[in-house]
Amino acid sequence: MRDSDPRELFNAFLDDELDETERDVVTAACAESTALATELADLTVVRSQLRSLPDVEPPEGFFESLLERGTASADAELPANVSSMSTARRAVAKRRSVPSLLIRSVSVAAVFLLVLGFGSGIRAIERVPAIEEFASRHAAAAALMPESAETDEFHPMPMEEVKDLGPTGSAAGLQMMGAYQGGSGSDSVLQFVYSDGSDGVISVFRQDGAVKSSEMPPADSVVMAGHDAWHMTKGEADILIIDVDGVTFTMVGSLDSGPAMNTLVDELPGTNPGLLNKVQNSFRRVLDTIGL
Amino acid sequence: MTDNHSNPEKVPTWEEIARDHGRFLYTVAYRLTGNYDDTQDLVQEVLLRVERGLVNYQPGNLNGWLSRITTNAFLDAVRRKKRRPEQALPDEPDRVLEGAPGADLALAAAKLPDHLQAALLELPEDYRAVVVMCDVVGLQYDEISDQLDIPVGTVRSRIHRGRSKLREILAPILDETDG
Repeated sequence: MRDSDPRELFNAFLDDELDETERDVVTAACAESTALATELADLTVVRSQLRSLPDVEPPEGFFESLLERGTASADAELPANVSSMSTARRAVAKRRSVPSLLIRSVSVAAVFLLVLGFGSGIRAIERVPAIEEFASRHAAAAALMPESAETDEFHPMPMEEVKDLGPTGSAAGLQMMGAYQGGSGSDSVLQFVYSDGSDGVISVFRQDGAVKSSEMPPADSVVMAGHDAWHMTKGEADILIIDVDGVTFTMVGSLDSGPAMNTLVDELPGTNPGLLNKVQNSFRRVLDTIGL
Repeated sequence: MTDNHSNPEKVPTWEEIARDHGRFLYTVAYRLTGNYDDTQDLVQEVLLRVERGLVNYQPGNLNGWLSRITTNAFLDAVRRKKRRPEQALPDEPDRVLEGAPGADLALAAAKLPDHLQAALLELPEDYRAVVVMCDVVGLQYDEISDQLDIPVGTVRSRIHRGRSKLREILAPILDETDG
């Protein structure tokens, strides 16, 4: 024990987490110093009061309401005061301020997209994810990854180009094993495949455009990390669809992949500056090429 | 909050957790957040994570597992709020501790839990989480270390600094109750 100040040991002393030598240091210090003994007494009171704090009663019917409705629809059907609060928070999240540089980037990107004929506007697009197709693609990737994820419709993408568009997976102990793109233009789908190093594989599909909530099953509605989401199972697959600021992510994993998927949710980038920077850079290259 | 180890042989259902451990979850969540709106949000988030995590739950220290989920969900929410700041105030209107010296001894003693809750909110979230796991949930240092995946030395340090900060904040009240 290298603590030179015996006060560093006081709380561990109270919690009986010291060895005998350390306990002797505390005892001797308090015997020699009234100030230290008073400090130890104060900490004893603080600890005692913390441990005496009463239980906190939830509002009447709070858990009964959750039990009746189940977690899957909990947020959508909570008691009125809770539901309105969550709705308000989502509204706040959607209204949050955007740095001016990002606004400028979005403006430039919008012009670029218009030039290329994507004038319908990504923001106006709504998605109903092709769950069956995604589950099938995931199953193939999970069985024979990564080669099977490459098909006539889906082509590998260099990870350097797409790494900002999906979760890193690192917080969940996952490694991105491949990235693939299918479709084209505003209808393109990016698939990220993550592995835990053994049998655990999760696919994350990214599509520009918000989830078309009117066509999603209300009973599967949840809120994840402040975003509208839908959670369901299809056969052996656990599926989580989440709308992050107008970008649709569909996660597909096995039934035991819930915790890892929860962690991935916190890493979803949404409409991220990385994508906008790429578009912006492309726009600049176009301008340079045509001499403007 | 003293029964930390549930029946190790049985994996509870989600309904059993909500029914039998809901008050525990609510208390831990309130001690972490300090206001009822955030507590209810946090408990809902925790129950979602519990539902999704039950398939991986190994019977053992159920309250430890639940407090880990609660603490992680709380810290995730804190990180999100730091990215998207919102105004969140505690429900207790008398959070300003400077008012206490004028109160009489009995009142100061009676209101100590309120002051303590307010003082908890003054702690950095990482410290608050460890103090709550130790003193509200009742976990040992090594259990907290396992649940939060941080070294025991870090647990010890955070508890020391957290409680010492509480002592510093509560010093006027402690002096008064000491007479």
